[in-house]
Amino acid sequence: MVGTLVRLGLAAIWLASGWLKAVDPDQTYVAVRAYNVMPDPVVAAVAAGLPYLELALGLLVLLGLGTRLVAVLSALLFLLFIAGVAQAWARGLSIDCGCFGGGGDVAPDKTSYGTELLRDSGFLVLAAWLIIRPRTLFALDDVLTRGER
Amino acid sequence: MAAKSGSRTVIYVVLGVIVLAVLIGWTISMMRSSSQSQVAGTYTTAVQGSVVVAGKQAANTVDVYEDMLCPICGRFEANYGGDLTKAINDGKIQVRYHVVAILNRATNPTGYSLRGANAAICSAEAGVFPAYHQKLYTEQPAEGSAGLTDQELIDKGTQVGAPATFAQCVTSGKYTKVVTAETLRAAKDASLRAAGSNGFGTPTVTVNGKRADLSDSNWLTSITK
Repeated sequence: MVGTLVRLGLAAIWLASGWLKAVDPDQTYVAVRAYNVMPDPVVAAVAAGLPYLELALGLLVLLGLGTRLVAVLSALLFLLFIAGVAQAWARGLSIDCGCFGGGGDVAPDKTSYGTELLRDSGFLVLAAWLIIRPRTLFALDDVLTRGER
Repeated sequence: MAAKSGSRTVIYVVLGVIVLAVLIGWTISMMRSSSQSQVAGTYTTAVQGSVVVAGKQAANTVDVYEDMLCPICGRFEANYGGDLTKAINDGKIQVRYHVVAILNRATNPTGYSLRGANAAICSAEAGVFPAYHQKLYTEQPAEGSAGLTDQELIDKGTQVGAPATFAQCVTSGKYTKVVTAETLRAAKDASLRAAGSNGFGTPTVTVNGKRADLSDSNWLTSITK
């Protein structure tokens, strides 16, 4: 039961963050570029693909299709985001993470790296839960494996 | 055995959906930027105050407010600069470039926005605005960087064929006063603000005086087709 809520929560996170990035592609480009870790052509590719990757993960986890695999991929992506924010913090950049839209450079007193890292870590816990206990209610996984139990 | 092949199918489906999604993202991005092939501006410019008027009087007037440092202005130029240039060349629109300076604090040392704006207007005076303006955006410095020095601004002008008088215009900051005045005016102009926003930002574009919605990628083609 808890797992089902965790699954729906993770789906909501991915769908919201993916949607907000997808509707404002220029802002997303600026947000990715602000991390200052990739050359511009790679930034463009990441900024173009990431929103749809997030939407796909959200859709899959909402349907409960391949829950454990999707949770593993989600966890990897959260770790990547955490690494991105942490390196920005460590290098003294002043950026907004652009986690849910927005993003880019901000005034040095407007950063909130601590909160962003805490939030991403929370998301990571959700993903970890589903890796450990991927069986949830109303999941396509259930339907697909019903005959094999 | 059955369970194994079943879960393998799920893995393929999951990876397939993800790959498909990323490909969709790339395709959308490529379609958006298909117009970004660089077009050389063959139009003439005139300087009115701090405004660079590009091209002759036309059926439609587009006012572009931008800051030379603003990253989204860089994206705007990458996405629409070519289309705008072509439409000006073809006499379909006249563009009034309001190069403002709202990000002066975002370089270290401060002030690149203002010096970049001044240099852009100087380039119009020097007759090389189309190439120079495009060059400053394709080689745009990042926020938080040092920006470009006067010497770098001058060198880039020389590279696109600016005459020797350009350097004097850049170093003397000939247009800084009018840029500052225009920036203040734009910041107070309620018609330039997005609905629900209480501040002025760049890029802001108006078409025949009406604020354009840049999230609608057809904002320009609807008047140039």
